Amino acid sequence: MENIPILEVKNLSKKFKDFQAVNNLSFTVNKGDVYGFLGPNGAGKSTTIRMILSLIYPSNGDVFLFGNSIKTHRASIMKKVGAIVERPDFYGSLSAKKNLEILAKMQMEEISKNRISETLEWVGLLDRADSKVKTFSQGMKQRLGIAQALIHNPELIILDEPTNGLDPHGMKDIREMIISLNKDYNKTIFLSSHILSEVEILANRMIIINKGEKLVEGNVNEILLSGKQNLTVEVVDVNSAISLITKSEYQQNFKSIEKNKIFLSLERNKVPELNKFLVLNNIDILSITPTRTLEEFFLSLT
Amino acid sequence: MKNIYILTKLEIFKLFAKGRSYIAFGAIAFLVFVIQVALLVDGKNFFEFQTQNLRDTFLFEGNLLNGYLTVYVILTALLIHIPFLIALVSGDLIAGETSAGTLRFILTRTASRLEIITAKFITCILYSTLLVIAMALLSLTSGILLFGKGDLFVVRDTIYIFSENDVLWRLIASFGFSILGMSTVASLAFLFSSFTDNSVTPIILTMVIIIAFMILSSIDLSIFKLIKPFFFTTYMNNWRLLFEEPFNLSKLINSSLILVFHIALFFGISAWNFTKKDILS
Repeated sequence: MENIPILEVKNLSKKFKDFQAVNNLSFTVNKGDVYGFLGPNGAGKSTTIRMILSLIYPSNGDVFLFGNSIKTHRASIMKKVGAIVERPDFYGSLSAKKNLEILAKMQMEEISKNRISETLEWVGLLDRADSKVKTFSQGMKQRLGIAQALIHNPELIILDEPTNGLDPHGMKDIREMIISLNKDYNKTIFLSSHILSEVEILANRMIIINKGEKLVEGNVNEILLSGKQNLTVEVVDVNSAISLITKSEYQQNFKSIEKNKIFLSLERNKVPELNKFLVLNNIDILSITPTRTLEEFFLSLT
Repeated sequence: MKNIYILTKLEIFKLFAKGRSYIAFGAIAFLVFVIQVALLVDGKNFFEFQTQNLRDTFLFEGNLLNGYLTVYVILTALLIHIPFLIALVSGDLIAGETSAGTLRFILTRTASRLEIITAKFITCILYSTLLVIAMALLSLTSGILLFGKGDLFVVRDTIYIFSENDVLWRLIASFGFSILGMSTVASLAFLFSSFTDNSVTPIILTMVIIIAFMILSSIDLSIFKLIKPFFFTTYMNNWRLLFEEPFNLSKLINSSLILVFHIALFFGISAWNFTKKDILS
């Protein structure tokens, strides 16, 4: 499929007095992508998102959406963009439906009440449409946040850490919505996160930034396969397993041991070989689990 | 223009969905009621006290403690304090949304920042206007119902007596002029609101400036007399010109224009700041 650029960030920089929040950042999001925007807290993700949405003005560089600069074509661009910027905040004393009606009217186009109800139904809040938002849980507010980003049927949806502060059930719900928006409704998703596994599950392409600068960008699988990952190998007889590993080529991959768990650092494509090696040497394996945090992945990159 | 009309309707809806927007109306209704009842109970003594030095020279006849006098008393008493009630709402219009985080969401819609701040400013001025109109309607109707009509007797540096037929338009014009004064205060609170991320700061700053200007204006030192023309508060009380003879129309128009200039200036700075600033909340 031909790559059609939807979002192009070109040499974007932002300096707050003496603090360089974003430095010469460039990347491209294509139509149909779920694009992971990854970085630890304070990496400059939210500042970049705010510049994309013209909430913050860049010190240098430009953002192009649908081929036009946000500086010159903001109004026409924002008709095709829906976003959640950080925490979803609403008018607490108004109902969910009223909040959406207000935001829909600020879109300056006709959005029917039916569309609002449909959106509320899609995010699972139709039965709470008339409840005041201040009575909502964090998960419900996050779903309402997604609803407000969808009411005008945008082509690009920008989600800034949408699973932040949610319990596992809430995280799962939001992730399923993101998958559905991309697969069923052909939406392009720009997903900011500091959770590597989240991006690994949802995104096809990604960029990792740190201290406002790009570390790596590209296909998710290619990036993740390129480095070593931490493995936890749980075995029945840990002494036999350790004895075997330390005398083998995997000695250099061995990191530590805890009860019946052995921790190794190994390239992803070598995991099946390790598995075969242990099994053929009569080691009973309970599980092999990759445990790769973003911090560890950073270390493998630098 | 259509966008600003839609946004203004939304702003008005949001404003009146908040409880604090009704505090000022409640406070004015309460104060008008208390002043009228107090005048009903003790108005005769009040009027006699006001005119005690004149009783040897003048003969007072007719209904001089009338509805028009009570409205004049209310105007004098309340117009000094209403600015605080107005600042409570105007100071919250932008800063309240910034601190609540809703500003992020409304600024990611199609409406431009200039359209949004213009709609908010119109709402701010409408609120001040409504408050003064409410005060006018409440005081006039209750005053006339409770005390009836009559000549207005105003004691200032000199004595002014306005015949019954000549009073109502002056009172209405005073309320009209007060709308300008209160809108200036609202614009100032609105200006501070565009600079801060919490709604308490603009309210306090507005109050501090008004109190400081009023105190400095009231001190009879030549240095303060020199700077007094540069305080907008100097012109806010010029509705009193309507209760002087001869009526100085040009001075009243001049005061009105100065207040309009301040309103435009405060809005201009607010709009410039709001359209240029980074939204970091």
